[in-house]
Amino acid sequence: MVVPWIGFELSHLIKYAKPLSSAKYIRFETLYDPEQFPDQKRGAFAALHYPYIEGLRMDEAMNPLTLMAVGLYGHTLPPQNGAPLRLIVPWKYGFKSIKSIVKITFSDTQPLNTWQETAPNEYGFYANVNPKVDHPRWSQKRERLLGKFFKQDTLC
Amino acid sequence: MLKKAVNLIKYRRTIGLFSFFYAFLHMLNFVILDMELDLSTVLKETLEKPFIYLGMSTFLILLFMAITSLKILFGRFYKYHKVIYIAILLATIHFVMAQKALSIEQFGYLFIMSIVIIFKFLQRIKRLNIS
Repeated sequence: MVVPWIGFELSHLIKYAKPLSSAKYIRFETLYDPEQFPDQKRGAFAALHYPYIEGLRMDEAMNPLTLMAVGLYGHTLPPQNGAPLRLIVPWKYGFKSIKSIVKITFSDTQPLNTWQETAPNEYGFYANVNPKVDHPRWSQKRERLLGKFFKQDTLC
Repeated sequence: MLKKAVNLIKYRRTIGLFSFFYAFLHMLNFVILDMELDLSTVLKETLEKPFIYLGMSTFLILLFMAITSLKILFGRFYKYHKVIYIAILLATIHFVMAQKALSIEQFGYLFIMSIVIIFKFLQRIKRLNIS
């Protein structure tokens, strides 16, 4: 995706937080508020276990391309895009870029992210964009850039 | 049992042709918008991915039924039209597989499907008992 995000590097936040040197991973949690998120209200019928969890390895989190976004296209983030604060990891599939973050923790063990918990046969922890590896149900060789009608070979 | 209340059989052909029409649009959406008419990729995806070949098989069944619903063919092919039950089953699995995670909507369709299956099963038992 090519989106003009507005934000800051996650590495700046991490340096500010001064985690212990034993921190190997960073774990994010989305807001749990059934009043705002319709699926969270469905209880046993919800599609996922909430709150939504994502994680990165420390070196991935420190990469200058890893952003904490607060806006896009010159505006602050609308709720559906993950207001007020979301993660952007451009080289990973979209589900890694967790929205509406309310909690960040550091850990020495790999966090169990929501999609790995829900469908481990389809979604892993790293989820780096790789056109050569198909999703079990569809190919990921080609992608449609936002704003373009025709597809192109997936960039990676 | 239901037959006495509403005679759905009158609308069988219309409903069937509508289903075929929607399935046809859905298939074109995949071939044109998703695959951008790259027919070799369509074939490869169809043979490789269960999600795709279930959908394609359902479409072929509906295509067969649409063609043989023409008056001149109907008499000869009517007896094969029971394959619609296979199509319904495959379409349901295809639909459920399309989701990243199951939600109440998919459970709803699965519930409706199981009722259809139970009814057909009861009907069969009843018919066996009579004969």
